[in-house]
Amino acid sequence: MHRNSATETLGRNNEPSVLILTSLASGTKHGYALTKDIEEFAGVTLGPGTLYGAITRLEGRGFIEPIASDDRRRPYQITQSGREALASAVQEMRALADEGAVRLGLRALVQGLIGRRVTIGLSQ
Amino acid sequence: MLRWYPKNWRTRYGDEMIALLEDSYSTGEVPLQARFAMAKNGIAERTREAGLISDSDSPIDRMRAGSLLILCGWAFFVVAGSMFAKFADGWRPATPLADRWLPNDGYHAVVWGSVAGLVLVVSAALIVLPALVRLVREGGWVSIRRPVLRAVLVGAVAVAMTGALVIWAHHLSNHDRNGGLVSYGLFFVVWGLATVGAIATSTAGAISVTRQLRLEQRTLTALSRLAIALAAIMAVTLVGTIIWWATEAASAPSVMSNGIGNGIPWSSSVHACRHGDLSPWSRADCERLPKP
Repeated sequence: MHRNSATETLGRNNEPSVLILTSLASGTKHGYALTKDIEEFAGVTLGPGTLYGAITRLEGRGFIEPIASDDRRRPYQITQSGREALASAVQEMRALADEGAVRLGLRALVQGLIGRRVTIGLSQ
Repeated sequence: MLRWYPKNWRTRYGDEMIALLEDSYSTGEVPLQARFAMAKNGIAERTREAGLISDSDSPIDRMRAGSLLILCGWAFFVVAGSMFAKFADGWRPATPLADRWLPNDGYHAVVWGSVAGLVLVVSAALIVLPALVRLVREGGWVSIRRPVLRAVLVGAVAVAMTGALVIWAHHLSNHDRNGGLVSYGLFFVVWGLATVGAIATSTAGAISVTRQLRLEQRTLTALSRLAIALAAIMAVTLVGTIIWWATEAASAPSVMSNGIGNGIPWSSSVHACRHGDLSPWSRADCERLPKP
């Protein structure tokens, strides 16, 4: 199966890379804060091995970067290329969600999504 | 737990990981699932550092990593194949003529698979040879010297031991060669370890060298095709081994106690189970036997 660029870069929407970027999109966080935040908004608990496996890859690709800190709990922030990759992944997810909703006949959801898109478009 | 990870990774992320573990598991008890995930990720990091997995977007890097991973798989097959060759030594006379055709086909698949695999690996080496010469001419010898010299040294020891083993074996009786002489048996085990070491160091050397080479797209495509063919051959070899093993176990169980299988308790248990020997020891082992 051919996967397009954003999905190929970050993996599917429930993969640790996407979850971490989503969490960091709202501000810097260290490892433990990331796991708690992801647990809260996605209901997914990332173990230490999985979390740092994804952090290693994201940092290697330049999507996140550490912030200098004296503490062992080093915080990370999302970079501009990380924001672009996440935005691209979110757009793909939205396109899939729209298509799924249309095919399921969930008009209300589609209307809601369109409304949100307009709102977001206006706010930018 | 951090020992699963490579040293460079531990230096960079080790402290952070320990802090996260302290925050996440205040009781100090890390759950088994988390330990397993860390082990898995640690091994993945080591494999990535060795160049056998690539997260790169570049198809060139991915092709190179994939080809090297298959080369590693081939090295394991060579070790397993050597053990199989010793195990299957003299299986034909012990197998009834009427039952011989199927294990014969399996055995031939293993033999021809090994030959074809060797041809592919040698072809791959020849394909990258010009790039290796270019690297050395450009002064890259320093970067590959250590793994190459290590592989040559261990290989030379293994070859010398093989020569000594052959000469010694030539002067021994069949009984002495098959467990009658303890010193020969010990030397055989050491030789086996040296051979495995030679295969491992030469594979590691090939990986280190290939990572340093600047390969053209055309060369990498050719390497990838060879790697895919090698993977297919490994699959055929595996099927051949399974066919041989299963049919020999059914038609000639005495073969199962041959060669290196002699010292393996379960191989004699296969025999015991087949012949209805239900002594307590055999019975216990019969229960432990994996289902075919």
